[in-house]
Amino acid sequence: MKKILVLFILTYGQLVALDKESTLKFYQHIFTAITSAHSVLVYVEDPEYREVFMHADKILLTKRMKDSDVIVLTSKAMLEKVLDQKELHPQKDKKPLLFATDYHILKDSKEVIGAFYWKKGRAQLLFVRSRLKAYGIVLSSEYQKFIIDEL
Amino acid sequence: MREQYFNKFIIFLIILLIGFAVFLQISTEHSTEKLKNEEVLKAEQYVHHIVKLMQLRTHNKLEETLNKNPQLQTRLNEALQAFLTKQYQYIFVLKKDDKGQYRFLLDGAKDAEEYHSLFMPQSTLFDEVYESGKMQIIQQEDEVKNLWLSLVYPIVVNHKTEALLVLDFAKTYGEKLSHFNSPLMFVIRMMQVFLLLSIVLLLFLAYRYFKAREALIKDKLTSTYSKYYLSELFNRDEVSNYYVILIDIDEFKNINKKYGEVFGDKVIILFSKVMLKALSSASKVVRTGGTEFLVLIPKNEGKIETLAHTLFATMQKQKYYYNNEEIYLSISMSAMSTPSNATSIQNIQRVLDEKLLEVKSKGKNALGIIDAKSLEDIDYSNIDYIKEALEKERLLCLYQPIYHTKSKEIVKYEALVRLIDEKNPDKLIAPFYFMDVIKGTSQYIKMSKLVFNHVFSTLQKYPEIKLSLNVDLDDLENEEMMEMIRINLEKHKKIANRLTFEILEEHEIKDYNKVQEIFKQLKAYGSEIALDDFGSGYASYGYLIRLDIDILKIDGTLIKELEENPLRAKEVLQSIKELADKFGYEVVAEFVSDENIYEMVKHLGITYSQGYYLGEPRPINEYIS
Repeated sequence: MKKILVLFILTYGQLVALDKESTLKFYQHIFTAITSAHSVLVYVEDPEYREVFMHADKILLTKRMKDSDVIVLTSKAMLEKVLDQKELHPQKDKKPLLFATDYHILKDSKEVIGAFYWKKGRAQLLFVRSRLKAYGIVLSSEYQKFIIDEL
Repeated sequence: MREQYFNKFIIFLIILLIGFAVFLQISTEHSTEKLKNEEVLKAEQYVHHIVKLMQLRTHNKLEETLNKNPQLQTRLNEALQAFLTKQYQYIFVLKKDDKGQYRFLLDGAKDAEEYHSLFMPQSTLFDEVYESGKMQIIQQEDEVKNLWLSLVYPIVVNHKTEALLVLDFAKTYGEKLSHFNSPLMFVIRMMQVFLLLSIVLLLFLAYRYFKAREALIKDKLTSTYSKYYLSELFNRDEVSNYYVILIDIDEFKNINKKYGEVFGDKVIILFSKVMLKALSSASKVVRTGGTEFLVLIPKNEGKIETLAHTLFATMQKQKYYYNNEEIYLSISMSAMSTPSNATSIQNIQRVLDEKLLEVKSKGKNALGIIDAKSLEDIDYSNIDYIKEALEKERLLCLYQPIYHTKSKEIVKYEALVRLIDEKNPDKLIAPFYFMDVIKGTSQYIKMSKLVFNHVFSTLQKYPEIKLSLNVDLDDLENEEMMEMIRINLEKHKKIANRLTFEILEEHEIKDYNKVQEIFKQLKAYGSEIALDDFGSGYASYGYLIRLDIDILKIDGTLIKELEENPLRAKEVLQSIKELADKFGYEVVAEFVSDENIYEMVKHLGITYSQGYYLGEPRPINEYIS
């Protein structure tokens, strides 16, 4: 079922992100794919995202960056803040993973492994191959077409 | 309008309305699609011009020129932006890089995408356009935000796709076009709803109609058909396809009287059940009266004789029980195979009725089958046939001579009416077939007028002859008929004294004074009055006392008795003769059918004789010549 849903969403770009439930399911798929965990600890500051993620089964919100598996970056300011924190408190397992909601955030930092955003009415999901490799992330075949070499 | 045509018309009307509603919907949808297609075509033309402009400005080296000239990039972005209206959501130019990723070259948005930034079109059709170099229209799904259609136009240089110009139509514009004909569609939908409701209503009415029809054509007590079913059945089927049987329970009132009406009803219910069980499912049973049933059996089920006898035997041996008391019913039946030219069930019923009466008069509890020969002339008893014959004056009078018995000289002729067969003018139809059918109707008066015309024209043509004419006493009591007779007598008063009215009487006279008054009026013109069929039925001795008549015509059955019971018959006839002599009446013997009878009549001194031995009814000219 999960596979069908991912295929459905990603192959045809028909991200059912117009309603919160679909958005949530989609993020759950991405985060579990990149962390290979059954449930993912997510740090996000944007209240709108927090509101959405609150209802997830497989996403647990955390208030501390260092406890999280994935940090969702919704602005450049957030990116800078996270990068500062990472520098101050580097972790052995390179966690948390950074995932952006904007193309420019993805482009601005090599620490960000991927992004999901809307452009010209179409859903855009991107992963940078070198960054996934740096973090030792291997994505399943459904995601291969969204992995790019350069931005 | 006949029912079957009306039904077909209603069905045709419904189909026509459904067809019209479907046509309207299809044509409206087609016109909406046409409108959309026109818009796409228009956009395609715009895009084509834009691409031409870009190629002109960049000398067919779009990316290379834009790389070198950011100002041109800005100007072209602005040009694209100018193109955006409410109907177009996005317009941009994409280039496919070496790794197959799409990147922005130009963007008409206010906040234009960064040059060479990445774009994932999420549609394989972009690749197809790139490969084929042919424009494509992509119908966007709901999941793509705010877009209706995407026009993907290839920018081709030297048969190679350099880039794609993408024009996205706003979803709102698509909706606007879709709703362009919505008032009309609303009307069509309303019409369809109305039509649907009408059909539902029609079906409901049809259901009600069939329920009401069933109640009308089904007999409530027995579940057989009621008589109303007959006309309906023969609207769609031929009478001639069936054998017809009339069956009646004899003296059923005795059952009701003895056991009560409730039991009587039970007997009728069981009787009809047994009858239905004995018949095939294709047969029909119609309750035409309280205990009278008309049975219609398809002719392909066997011979009428076999079928009728089987049914009669089944019905006859059926027992009915009242408190362990066994009851058998007496049943009278008449049956016939309808002739191939039969058109009316009423005529068939009439013939069967007559046969049933005959069966009953012979002692009841029997079956009478009408032979095919007697049915050949069944049409002659059809009122429409008679009506048409009278309208076309297919009628004539034959004349039977009345002889002076001793001298054997013709003294008078009796006029006898005949109808002429429609197909065979040589065939004449006797009154037996039609007289009872038209009696009491306007056709009877019409026929009487024609007969009077015949008789008077014969009297005029042959001044030396006398004629007699049969008139029913009922006719003389009918104002219209009497008026017609008076007019004729007045018109021909010079020859009216050569006419004798032979009065036929079918029931007892109640008002002798009135009849005597009528006779007086007839005699005033010199006409004579003969009492027909004296000695039988109601033509009794009482008439001799109370009525002023001139001639007695002795009933033919009495004359016939001269052969069977000559001694007694002679005595009776002798007494009539003596009585007539005393009253001064002339006497005529009818039915003188052979020489023996003639001699006896002569010996009895009966003045006048009439019968086949002396002369058959023939056209008058055959006797005069």
